[in-house]
Amino acid sequence: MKQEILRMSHVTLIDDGMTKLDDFNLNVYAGEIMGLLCQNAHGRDTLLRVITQNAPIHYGYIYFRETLVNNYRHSAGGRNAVAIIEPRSHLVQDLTVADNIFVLRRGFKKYFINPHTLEMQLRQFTEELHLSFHASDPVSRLSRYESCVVELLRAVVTGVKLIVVRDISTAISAMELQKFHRLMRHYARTAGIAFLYICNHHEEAFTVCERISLMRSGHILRVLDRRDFSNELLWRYSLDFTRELPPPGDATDEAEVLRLSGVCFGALQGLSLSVRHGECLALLDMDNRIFDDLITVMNSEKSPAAGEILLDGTSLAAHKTCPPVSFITEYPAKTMLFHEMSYLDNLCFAAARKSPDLWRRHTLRENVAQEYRQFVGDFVYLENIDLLHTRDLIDLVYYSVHLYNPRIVFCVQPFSGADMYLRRHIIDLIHLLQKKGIAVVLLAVNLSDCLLVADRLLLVENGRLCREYSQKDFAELADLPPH
Amino acid sequence: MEKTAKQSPIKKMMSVRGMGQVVTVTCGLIVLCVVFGILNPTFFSSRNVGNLLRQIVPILIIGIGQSYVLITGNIDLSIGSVIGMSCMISATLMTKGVNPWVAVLITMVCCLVIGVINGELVARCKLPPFIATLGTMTIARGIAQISNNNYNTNFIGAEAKGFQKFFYAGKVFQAGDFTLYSGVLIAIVLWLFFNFLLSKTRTGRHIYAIGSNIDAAKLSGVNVIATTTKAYIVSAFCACVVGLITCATTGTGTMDAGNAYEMYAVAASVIGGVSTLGGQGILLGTVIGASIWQVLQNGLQFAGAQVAIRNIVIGVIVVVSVLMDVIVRTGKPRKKKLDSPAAATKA
Repeated sequence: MKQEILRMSHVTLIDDGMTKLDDFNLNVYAGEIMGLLCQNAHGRDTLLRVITQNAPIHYGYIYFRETLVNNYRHSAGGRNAVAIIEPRSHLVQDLTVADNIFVLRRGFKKYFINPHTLEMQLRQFTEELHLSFHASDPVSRLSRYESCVVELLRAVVTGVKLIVVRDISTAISAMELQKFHRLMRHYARTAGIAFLYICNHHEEAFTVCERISLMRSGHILRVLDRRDFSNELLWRYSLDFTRELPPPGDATDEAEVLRLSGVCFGALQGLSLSVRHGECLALLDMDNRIFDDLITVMNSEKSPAAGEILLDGTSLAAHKTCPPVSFITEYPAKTMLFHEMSYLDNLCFAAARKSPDLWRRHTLRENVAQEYRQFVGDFVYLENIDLLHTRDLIDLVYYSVHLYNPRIVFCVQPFSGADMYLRRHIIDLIHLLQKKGIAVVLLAVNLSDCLLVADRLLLVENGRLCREYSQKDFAELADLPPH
Repeated sequence: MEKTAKQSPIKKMMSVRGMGQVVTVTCGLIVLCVVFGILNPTFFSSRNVGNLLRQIVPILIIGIGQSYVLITGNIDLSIGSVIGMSCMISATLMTKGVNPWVAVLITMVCCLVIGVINGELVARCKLPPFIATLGTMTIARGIAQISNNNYNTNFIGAEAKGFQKFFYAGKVFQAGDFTLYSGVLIAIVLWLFFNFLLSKTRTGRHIYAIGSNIDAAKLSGVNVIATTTKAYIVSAFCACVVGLITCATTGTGTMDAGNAYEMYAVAASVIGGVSTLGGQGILLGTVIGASIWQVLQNGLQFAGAQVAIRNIVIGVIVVVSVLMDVIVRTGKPRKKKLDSPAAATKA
């Protein structure tokens, strides 16, 4: 019989007057990859806090490795032997791989460090798993996938019995995800490590998990075994993501907004593509390397080493004073806003490039406030945007682009970290931009929900375009690595 | 949060971000004045009030410059040395017979060059602002020393009477013992101008944006290098004006003029609520911060406190101000999030 690594029985946790975990049950066994599909983000962070740090609970019992570690009467408060691997790295960037794996861990007793010994120890892992990095490589030089592998190895070396893998597909490419799944299976099988795999898409969970728990608002709705893994069953628990029919008319007739011809810069190796007026184009980077460089050249921070970028038929450099290009970065609620400014200031910030009078003339700003009040209500007059929920902050980012009205907007991984309801809402916001005639380019490392909103998909490999799919070819994408 | 048709002026003023802190320190300033007035009634004499305003001027002007730089999330340590450089270059030129207004122009250009260098080093070369301005601080002090071959200058001469009157001795208003000097007027004009620039123009918003979220600012089309350089130029300009005021006050050029003034500038800014972490602060706060600084100096002197005690008291106040800023910025008590009207409607 398999050893039970984690058992959460009827756990209820109320925080700030809100029930974060509601009669929550979860069992994870040694060597098992357990999926956790979260329909919304409610209670997800709390769950991790309870699993790792034994945060006090209001009802229920939690056993870790068959020992009671937390119950409603008493919480030990100590940490369980659990590691978390998520898009945000937990490694020290300026130290080497060997330092991060062997030295920076609980239980490392040696005072004098012999780099040669560490190198030998690491070589056992790298040779067995066919990994390309070396012990002396600084972590800052590794790709995100390699960093994830280093975190996995550190967990294995530390003797962790449960590894939580959270939303990892938003940080690494589809091919890298396949490789990472192989490593997970390897350690589950050979070292008996249990994995809790948290993700937003059942298609992704189906490829690696043995069982899947469906969670909504801090409550487990259902536990699925392998034989239950079917799209039809999951749709019952899902929002309607059915694609709206495209507007009548042939999209190919639309004028070209952007054309990249043989652009070379950093990881871009002769990238060529075109984007039409009001279309939504998904750019899938199979290597997860080009986005920073693409944004750098599109933001006119640097000129490409070779190739040409045409915006509305003229060179991008000609639009330098007020380029009709906007960007929405990953996790926009955290990265795209000025938290010291009011809602209205944030809303107007981009538009003030076109109309500097916005800062001087109160009436102009009041007109903007009145116009956007229909979308966001009285939030438009809010001074402190820290009081808003993530969904409302994302609204603010998209509406500021809507107000600026660029010709094209680049969205980096728009669905990263978003729960099902937020993803549905982001799709609506993208449609809103399209309705205004703004072309949208989704920069993604996995297909995720891109196909639900994209009109075309371009696959990029080694910095250049390798394949193009139109909307009617999307069915072929089943052949691609899992998403 | 509900927007009413007509907001009262006080409510409107209080809705400006950072105004709460300004109100708090203003209350502190009033308390200080009352305490010092009780300890020594001559504190409120017309003559002392006039002098106090005159003493606040240099701290306020350099405080304005430092506030600009702090709001971008940087710091300018070269302010004190630029004051010395400005004082020495202008005095040296005037003692050599150069027309005082030409000397002012040349001094201004030299100081602005330091501002440009600071901006380029920090924004373009990505040097840590502490190190970059520490370097230019030493360079500017060296220029101050070398400009008259390592000597303080002689008296700037009778031809510079107009210069002295403009920057220091000119009487704008007199009533009994109370006299308002031209230096105060210069400070008011500079404050009005730079306050307008910061609160009502695109450049001002860009300065706040860089301090608040530099990556978002870059992607929103803000020219980070140019805007940061502008902030450092404002700082150098303000230091230059204070150097000229110092020169006009003493009538000579002194090599150690402005020594440690960069710290006074930081103190005036942070006491007034400008955040050392960037993105926050208003120039009204800098006025109050500079006033608190000078009232403490003046009041403690009137109360007979030793220099050492004065330094300790002022140091403690600066540390507490910065600590409060950090606590407010990083350890804000969690406020309940507001429910979206859209979500409420759907529910």
